[in-house]
Amino acid sequence: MESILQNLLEVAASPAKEVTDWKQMTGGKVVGWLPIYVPEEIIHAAGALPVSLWGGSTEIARADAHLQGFACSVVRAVLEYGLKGTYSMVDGFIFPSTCDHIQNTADIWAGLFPHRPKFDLVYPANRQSQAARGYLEHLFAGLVQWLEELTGQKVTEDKLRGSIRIYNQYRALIAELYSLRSRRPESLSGPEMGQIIKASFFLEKAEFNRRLSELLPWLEKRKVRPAPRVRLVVTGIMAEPVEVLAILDELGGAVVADDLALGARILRAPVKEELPPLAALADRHLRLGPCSTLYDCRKGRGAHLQQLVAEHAADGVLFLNMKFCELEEFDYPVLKAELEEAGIPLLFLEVEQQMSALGQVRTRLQAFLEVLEQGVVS
Amino acid sequence: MILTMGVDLGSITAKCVILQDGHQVLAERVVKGGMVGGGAEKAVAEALAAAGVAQEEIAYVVATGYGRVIFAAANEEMSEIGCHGKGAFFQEPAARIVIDIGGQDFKVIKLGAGGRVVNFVMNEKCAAGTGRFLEVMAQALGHPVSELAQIGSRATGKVAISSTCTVFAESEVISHLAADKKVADIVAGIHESIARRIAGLAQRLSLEDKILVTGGVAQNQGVVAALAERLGREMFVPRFPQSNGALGAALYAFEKSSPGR
Repeated sequence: MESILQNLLEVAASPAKEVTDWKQMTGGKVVGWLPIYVPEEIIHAAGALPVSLWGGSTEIARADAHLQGFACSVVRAVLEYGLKGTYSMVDGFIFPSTCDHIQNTADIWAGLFPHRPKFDLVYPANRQSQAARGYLEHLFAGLVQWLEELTGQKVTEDKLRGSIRIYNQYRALIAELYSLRSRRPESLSGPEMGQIIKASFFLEKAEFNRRLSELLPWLEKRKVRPAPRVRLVVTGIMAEPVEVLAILDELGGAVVADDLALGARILRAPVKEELPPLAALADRHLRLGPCSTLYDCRKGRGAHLQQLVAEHAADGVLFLNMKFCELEEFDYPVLKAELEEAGIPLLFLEVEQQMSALGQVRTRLQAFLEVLEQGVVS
Repeated sequence: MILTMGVDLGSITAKCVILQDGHQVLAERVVKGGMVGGGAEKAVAEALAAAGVAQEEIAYVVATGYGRVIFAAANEEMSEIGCHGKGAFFQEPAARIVIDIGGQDFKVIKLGAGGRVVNFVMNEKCAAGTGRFLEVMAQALGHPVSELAQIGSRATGKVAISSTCTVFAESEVISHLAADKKVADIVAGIHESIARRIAGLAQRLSLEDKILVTGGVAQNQGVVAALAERLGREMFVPRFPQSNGALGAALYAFEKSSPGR
């Protein structure tokens, strides 16, 4: 069991190797997708391997010639990897219309790599509109066609249904893992938890499901650290750099629930298997949220965080702000006021994927935990 | 008699406080040279000499500040936010807000009952609004940083420094000098720039009286006055502004050395 866990951690640490191995073994196509919402099921049904392109901790050198310094570290890293050949094994790229940074990176990308297949997934901003559902089905049908051309495989309804089932199992297993994290935070270190989720974005999902189902019963008895003194809900785009989670562990805290884009936000909301496949995927997109990147005039994130805090007996909320993510920054004042009103402590912590000096992060986390511990005691 | 020590290892200076029985300050030392240059050892040695005690007589040592993790002589480390809260409450029990302006960061801390930290905000990584900003500006003006307050007090107006970035602000100061603006007015503008930066962050917390200003920059009355004007509230500078964090660490050390108190 230890070896299954070790292997998942290795996949997360060097995904390129895993993806290259898969490609050599199967001869299949690799399709990379950018944050945040992409119906991986369709890629899977086309026999391709969906892999997440969510940046990383690379040094930014080449990308600065094309992107301004105040673009978020995720798109800068994606472009850097693209330019230095890290994505050489990726056969096609999907750019969702998540935010200005990603949309404009898509255009820069098209100029830099005119011959690499690319699909722009332009979502409807207004999901309440009657037209949204039909538009989404049409959009996904276009994606099917693009993938059929790329892979040379027919995406049949049966294949789509099969992939949807596998992905629903995947989401259910992750939900079990999340439940374990809340019940027994001592089963996994913070970085291990983050890396398991990350590994799932590079492995074929039926295979990942097999490994995680084997791992779960073993994790129920595993103990790698003392029970945390402080329980936190973390929200934001992603919990990177992973050292932040290591610092949190070291200080006696633990994440017991998350509202991360690269986490709970893309892993909640199962697909309704009784609907026709593309209609079902469109339906799921309409049910996603709350999320800073999905238009929602009701701004439900504060209430959602309060619910997570209550459900998981958390002591406070950690807002991991991906620097220069305007969408997240505009959400913050609203949820801050709501959490303050509810008496839930909140820490705003700014992070970037390429971050070498973590002293200031440590100071803020330590002070926040000290505040929470006093609160817990008194 | 229980002796405890607090050491605050900042980016520019090291501070050491020796406390007797959790209430009497026996020695307080601020030494140039923070994490590098042996500032910590020097501050500790000087404080021990001033108090007339030996290291072995100290029951417990708590370290704080950026260098806290590497300071091997400490029994424990605490964040500077907790320590500043504790120090401020000791120096002025009515304090509800602490504005600490250090060498490389500034923080605004809200205190609840018993000096408990209830909330805090800190500046971003950039040096605007910190002691380092003042040092760079002083250098551009060719005056020691310790003279800025006095020079600024002779100002008849304020030259606006609009750049937030320290490097750009330095060029701005140089252009003002080249345009033959009065040095005193430029200094007043520099103080105003720091105050504006800090006030912007402080307003994220609901401010309450009484407000204490601590840290090295608290010794500059020009900055403190500009801050009072901007926030429309009185500012108090305690007896040990720069060693407030070290004092808080020594107070923590006392609690640790005598459990149950």
